[in-house]
Amino acid sequence: MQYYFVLQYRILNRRLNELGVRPFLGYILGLLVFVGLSYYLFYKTSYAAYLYITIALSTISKLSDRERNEFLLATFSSSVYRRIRCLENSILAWPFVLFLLYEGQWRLALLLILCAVALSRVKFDDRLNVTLPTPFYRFPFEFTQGFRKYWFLYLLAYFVGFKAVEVANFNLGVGSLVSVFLLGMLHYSTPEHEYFVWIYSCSARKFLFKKMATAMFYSSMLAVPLLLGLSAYFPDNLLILLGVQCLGYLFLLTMILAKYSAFPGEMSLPQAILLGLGLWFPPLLVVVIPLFYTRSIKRLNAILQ
Amino acid sequence: MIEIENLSKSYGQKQVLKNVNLSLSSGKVYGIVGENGAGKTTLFKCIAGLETGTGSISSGYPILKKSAGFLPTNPYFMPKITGSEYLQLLCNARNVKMTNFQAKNIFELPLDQYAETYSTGMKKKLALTGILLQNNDFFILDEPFNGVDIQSNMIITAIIQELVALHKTIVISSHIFSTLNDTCDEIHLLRDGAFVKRVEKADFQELDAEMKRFVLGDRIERLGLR
Repeated sequence: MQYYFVLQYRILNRRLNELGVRPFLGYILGLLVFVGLSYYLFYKTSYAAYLYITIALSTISKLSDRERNEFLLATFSSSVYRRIRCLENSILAWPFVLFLLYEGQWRLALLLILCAVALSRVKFDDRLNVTLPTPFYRFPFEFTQGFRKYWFLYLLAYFVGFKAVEVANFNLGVGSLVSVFLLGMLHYSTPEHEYFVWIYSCSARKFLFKKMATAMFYSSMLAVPLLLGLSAYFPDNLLILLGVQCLGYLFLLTMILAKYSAFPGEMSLPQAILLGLGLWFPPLLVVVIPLFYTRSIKRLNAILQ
Repeated sequence: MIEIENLSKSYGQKQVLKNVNLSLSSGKVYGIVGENGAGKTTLFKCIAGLETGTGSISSGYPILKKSAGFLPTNPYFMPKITGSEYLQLLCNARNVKMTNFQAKNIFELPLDQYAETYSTGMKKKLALTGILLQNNDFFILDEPFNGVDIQSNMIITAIIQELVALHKTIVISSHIFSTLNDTCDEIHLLRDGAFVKRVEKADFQELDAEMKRFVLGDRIERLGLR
């Protein structure tokens, strides 16, 4: 059992190394980000504790994947398996529990730790056998896959847009439009297997333009109805809405270029920082986009030629 | 005609391919046999252009990979993508205009289901269908018969024979000697990253017997089964 946790620790360190971060620094950064985001959440909303519990439990529930649990059960005896699952769920729950205690939410902290232990006895099958139809079947795969993964978040974005109109809050409407593009960016955040680039019989330049055209077309299918709805109710702010839409496209294209600039590997920390800077201060995209584009062409040429 | 000359490939200190030479003609099937770790998959990846080695691979095509279909031993599938979407992706990649895959679904796969939920054999059949629909001229099939049911094995054999009739070039690896016997024009024996023998169809049985002698040796006796 001890070796299992040693292996998990090694896997985590390897992942940090692949990201270009020294493990020790990664742990400190992770802790700072966790505490920072927790503070921000509790500062922003009065429902923070409940949101916090939901986030914690959905994170912990990832360990209940059926296939993973069946492997553990086949490898270890039943009693060791139960101890491993209980311990790993508790380890993942503790940072959340400690922050809840710091916030004086001891009842919720207790509830969380009990739920984490209870979840260790559950196996989920996250491979849904029901196929969710999407309008993105002509040009798979990013939006097809992403929509199936995050359909509920798209629903939420549309709901927020509807609420923005109902309560006449323009900023909320902008938020819903932005979140549709952020979700689109999420579909391009992880690199696909090299094989799915190798199969293309075109130049790196053409490949990138195909990817970008598909992304713009499909993100428009999701964002334009929202844009039209918001424009109808906030006609005075039409220019701002169009500006947000254009910026959304630009961010999406930057994300695609950032992904292929590191392909077939994952984005390194310096690349992620560069992407973050471009998104935080869009005028920087004038430098960031050509840089990512040049690197993407170089990376893709190695596979496509 | 595809010419592979002095192809070598190393991973760090370990040399996986050692000066491999191979000539591949149109309308012929080439079998590559060898033990696990002999270098078959690396050779295939190098020919496909998924790995780079030293030496040269020349062909009549401007860029070989644009006319090549590669079936990996364990085909890759993305999560939450259906069988028909996978086929659509492969066709789009080669500018093949096709949207109705049901008529081409000769293995009767559940194309509306997520490919990740398919069994090993179904995955292999889907990946094979994909590279066939791309209208390639050159096929690299790494273990096409592995994990596939006996009926589908018969279909795959018939497909290979049809591809030969269409003057396509095919390279196959298989651990099932009878499948190579049925399909190949010549077989190359790969051992420790180098070709040690080339056998034509008339001598396949002799190669089979020789491989058995070499592989088995006194291993079973050493096991001392009781």
